[in-house]
Amino acid sequence: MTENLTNTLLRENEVVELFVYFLATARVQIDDPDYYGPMRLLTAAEKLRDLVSDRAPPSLTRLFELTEPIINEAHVVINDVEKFSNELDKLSSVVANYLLEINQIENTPHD
Amino acid sequence: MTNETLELIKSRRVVRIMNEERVSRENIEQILEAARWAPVGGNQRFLRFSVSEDPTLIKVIRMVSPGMIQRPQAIITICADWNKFRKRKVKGHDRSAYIDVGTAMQTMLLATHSLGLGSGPVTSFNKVAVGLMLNLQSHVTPELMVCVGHQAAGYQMPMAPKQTITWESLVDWGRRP
Repeated sequence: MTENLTNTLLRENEVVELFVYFLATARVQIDDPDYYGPMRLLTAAEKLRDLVSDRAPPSLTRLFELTEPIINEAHVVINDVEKFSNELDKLSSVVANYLLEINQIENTPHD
Repeated sequence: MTNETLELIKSRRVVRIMNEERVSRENIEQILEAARWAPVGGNQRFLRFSVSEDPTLIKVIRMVSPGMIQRPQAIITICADWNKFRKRKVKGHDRSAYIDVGTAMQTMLLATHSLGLGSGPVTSFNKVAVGLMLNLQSHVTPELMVCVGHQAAGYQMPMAPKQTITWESLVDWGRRP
C-alpha cells in the first residue's frame, strides 16, 4: 500500500484547491441545508480523485473505479434520504472491503 | 399555435456540464439587458451585477463556491447594494430584497436559454471570499451567481425529484378543501 505513495503526492496548486474548498465550504454549510454536508464531502472526494487519477497506481485506480458509479448515483438521489443513505452504505462497504483486501486481512462473512 | 415564450420556460434546465467555448460579450450584454427589465419591488433598483470573464478569476471563485458544479465561461453575480435598499424604507423583514434577486435570476436564466446558451444559478458560495475576489464595496454583497456557458455534449446527470411534479399538484383552486 505504501510503495506508490510518491506517485500520488499532491502538487501545491492541488493542495490549495482542496484546502480552500474545505475552508470555504465550512462557512457555506452553516447556511446550506444539513443534508448538503454529505454531498460536499462526496464532492471533496471526487476532487481528490480527479487530481490524482492520472498518476494513480492500479490499486488506487481500482478503488476509484469501484466508487465512481456509486458516487454518481448518490448525487442523483440526494433528495431522497433513504436512497441517498443506501448509496452511502454501498460506498462504505466498498471502501471497507477494499481496505481489508489491500491490507491482506481475511474477510470471513458470517453467513 | 406554439407559444415560444411558454416553450422556452418549459425547456430551460440547469446546465451542470459546460464546454470550453467562450461566451461572447454581445451575449453577456444581452443577458444583462434582460435583467434590467426584471420586475423589482417599488421600481427601486438596488441590485448590481458583477461580470467575471477572466478564466483565472473564475477559477478562484469556483474554488470557494461548493455549489458551482459546472465550469462556466462567465459568471454574472447578482449583488445587493444595501445602502440603496435602505432608501426603499422597507418595513419589517427585508425578504423583499431576495424576491428581486430571484426575479433577476430567472429573467437572466431565460434570456440565456433563449440565446442558445446554458446557465445555472449558484447560491452555495462563500460570500465573504467572493466579495473580496470581486472587490465589492462593504455595503454590497454577492447574493447569487448565474453561471453561463455552452452546454457540453453528452449526458448530464439529473437531480431526481422527490416525487413527480405537475403544475396541478402545486395548485389549490379557491379555498383549500
